[in-house]
Amino acid sequence: MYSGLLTLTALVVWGATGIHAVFLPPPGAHQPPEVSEVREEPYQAGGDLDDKELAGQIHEFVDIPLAGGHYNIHRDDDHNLKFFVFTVSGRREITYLEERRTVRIETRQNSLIQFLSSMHTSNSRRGPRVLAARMWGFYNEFSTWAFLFMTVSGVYLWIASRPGLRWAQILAGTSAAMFIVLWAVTR
Amino acid sequence: MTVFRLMRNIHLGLGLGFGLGALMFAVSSLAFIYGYLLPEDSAEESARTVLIPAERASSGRALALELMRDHGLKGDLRAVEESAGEIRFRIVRPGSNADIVYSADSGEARIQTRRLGFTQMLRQIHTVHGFWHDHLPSNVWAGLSVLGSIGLILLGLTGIYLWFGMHKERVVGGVLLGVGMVYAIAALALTRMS
Repeated sequence: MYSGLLTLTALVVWGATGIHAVFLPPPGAHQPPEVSEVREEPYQAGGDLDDKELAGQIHEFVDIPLAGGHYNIHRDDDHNLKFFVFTVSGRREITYLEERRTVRIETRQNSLIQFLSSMHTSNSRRGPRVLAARMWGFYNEFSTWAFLFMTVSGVYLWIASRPGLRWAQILAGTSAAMFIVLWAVTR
Repeated sequence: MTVFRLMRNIHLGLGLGFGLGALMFAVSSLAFIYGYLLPEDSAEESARTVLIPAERASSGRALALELMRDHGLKGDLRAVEESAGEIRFRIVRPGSNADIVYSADSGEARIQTRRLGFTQMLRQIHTVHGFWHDHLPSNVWAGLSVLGSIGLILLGLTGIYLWFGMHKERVVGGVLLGVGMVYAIAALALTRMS
């Protein structure tokens, strides 16, 4: 009971994330959110860098909060270097306008549920490196252990307190059998 | 039946109904977190070649269906690439994937199958979502996942009701609930505002 009370927020976030996941599109059909903000900053690239190195330096220069990795480095039709930076609050699209010596940062802010979906994967070793996100990561990891404990202790409490409940026996047996059959069929 | 007893039975029913599913999600989550500590999952690899006449392999999709119907492959069709005289694609399901290369000239489909280990399969089931799969069990896993998610929220709500009904536990429980919620919501809100 205590572990459930302490980790209730994580359980609700996981539940909401699981419900949201059913509405996610199949691979390749994902549409990023609309651009919600655009800003530009002057930047002079070094002359001896290839595109991958330049993308890495621009990634450091723009210093996007909550930034994860940067991906899909390529040139657009106007030969400008483009890539995007993943953040738990949505992706940031970076374009280096080489002739103007300017970096353009387009923000595609995601929805709250998409943010929670990203955050539900955080743990003490994974996720944004800002303090608040790390605090959540530790809480999320602790909640995972608590969830395992509640799963096992819940069954124990049933067996210890009301093992003779016929409907509970049937429900436990049927659901376990269905789970095992589904596993075997998938395997 | 009192409301307390009803809630207790709903709580028990949800827990037992999703017991193995909950265990699977808990263990797979830990496998995600501590994957770097686990020994590398052993995967079985095998290869075979089957003959398919060119007229039954008019496209990647037609060929994939043929292989699923008559040659024991099952899963979702992915990454279809068709070029002159050759079709390549992948058939995936939780715990297994097969890469297929078909040559129209020889009529041979080379199937390379990789059967993943237990923890890898657990992780893949954890991330199955949506009802758009060609592979029926994957849709069932996705359904189980969404039902389990609803069940998890209901378990939390009924749990709160059951705790609140235990008068002696209100103070300690209230402190734990408050501390947990303030800490977690503050961490999420501050992260979102970063």
